Amino acid sequence: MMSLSDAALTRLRDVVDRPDAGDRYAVHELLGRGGMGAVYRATDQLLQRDVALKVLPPEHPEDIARRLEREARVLAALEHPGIVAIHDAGRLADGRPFYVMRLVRGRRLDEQVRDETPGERLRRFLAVCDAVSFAHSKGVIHRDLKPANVMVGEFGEVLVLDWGVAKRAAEVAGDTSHVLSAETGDTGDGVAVGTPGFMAPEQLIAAAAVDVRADVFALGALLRELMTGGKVAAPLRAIIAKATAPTASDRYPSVDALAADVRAWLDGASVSAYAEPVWEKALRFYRRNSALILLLLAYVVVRLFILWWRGV
Amino acid sequence: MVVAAYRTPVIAVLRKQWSLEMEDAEDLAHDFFAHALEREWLVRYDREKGRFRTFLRRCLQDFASTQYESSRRLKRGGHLTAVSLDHAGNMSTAAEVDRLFDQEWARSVLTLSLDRLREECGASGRQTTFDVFVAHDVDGADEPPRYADLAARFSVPVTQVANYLHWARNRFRGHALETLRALTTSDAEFREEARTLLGRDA
Repeated sequence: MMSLSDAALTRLRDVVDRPDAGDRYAVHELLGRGGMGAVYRATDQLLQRDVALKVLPPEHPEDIARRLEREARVLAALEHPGIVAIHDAGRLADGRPFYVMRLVRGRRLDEQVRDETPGERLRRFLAVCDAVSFAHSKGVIHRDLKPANVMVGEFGEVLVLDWGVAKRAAEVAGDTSHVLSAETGDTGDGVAVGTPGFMAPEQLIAAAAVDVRADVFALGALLRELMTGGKVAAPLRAIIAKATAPTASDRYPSVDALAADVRAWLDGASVSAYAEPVWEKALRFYRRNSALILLLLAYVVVRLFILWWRGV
Repeated sequence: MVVAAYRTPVIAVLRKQWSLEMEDAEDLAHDFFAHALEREWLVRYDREKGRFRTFLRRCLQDFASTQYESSRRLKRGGHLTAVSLDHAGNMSTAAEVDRLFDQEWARSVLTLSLDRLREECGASGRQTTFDVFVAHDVDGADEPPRYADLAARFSVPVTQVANYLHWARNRFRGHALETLRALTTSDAEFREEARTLLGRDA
């Protein structure tokens, strides 16, 4: 019997674990690993470009294989600049299911916004809303939105990643899985759909009750995370509170409604989630129309002066 | 299969936790498996209660503790013992011993898989394929030799080296998973053990 050195042990573990991607893809370093598989940087030898290869481990059970295939189909249905593009899918030579997607080079959203102004952070957040809203329009609910799943690419584009636990709205209605912890990232039936802190309360009870408002909740939690570290204005706090309301019916009915409020705040307009005191309303009105108000004031002053002059 | 896969990790634990010399650890490991088979400990394994590996590790702990107590009694009575366990002087933590057991178990399973690959290659006239694989992924694991060097050494074209490695790696993966299947009793245990085998739950 041969005695394996530590280096040989490491190497042979890698031999077993590393996907056999055949002639088309040269597999390089491991980029990340979750309950639903591993993502490697790979080179598409045919098209001569780097891609990300998501593949299940060699010991994968068949139900997880079906989930990966469904994830690939969900991604294929979501052609949007804010959603990572899928290029290829299938089974590797060693039988493992895989899909190939665009390799995103960039930073996690929460890392990217650390040095950005509140306005810039909010515009990034609106880009996330845009992608999620598009998915909703296609009947897909992400169910695991969190900072780790949003990247800012090298051209400044915001990309929503990891649709591994996403479901089509029609599927969610009949889904009996419960939502537990997301530490494993596992997406098997009856386990782990979501991440504590970003998961709507109804996801903990029964997935059958989950609709787009679960993503609204997660986006509210994401917005809170993005605005951490500075003083958050009262209307923004109200937007976050409404988006993350424990009861789904108290939240924004859609991501578009949430985005509209954020956009309104950015434009200095009134926010539906916030009951504004009169003096704040007046101040906001003045800020939005200061030039006109000053012009009118100047006109009145001049007019009064003329009247006074003639009277004299 | 069970003895072949677990003999090395059992010896490693006996040496680490109980400070035994190699020869004594081998003797005690032999006694442990002999007892296990004779008294049908392994038959008592209930897969509902956890992994087989954890069960066997617990059996070993009980067995070694009993041996330790026996050796103390014999010492007090002025008798010599074949194996002298020195638990008190050992500073290894339980976590360290567990890690060692896992590591040696993985080494053992992959060694068995390599043996199977060697047998397969030998039986199918693919000895060079096996030798290239060993030269690149086992002996050369620290710093793998270049394909061109292997091609020159084995007098084959460079492309053939790539083909040999591709085939051998696939077969090795298959043998490793088959070995693991043979050592586990359910799909869930198989997947858990695969994570340990591949060092993913470290």
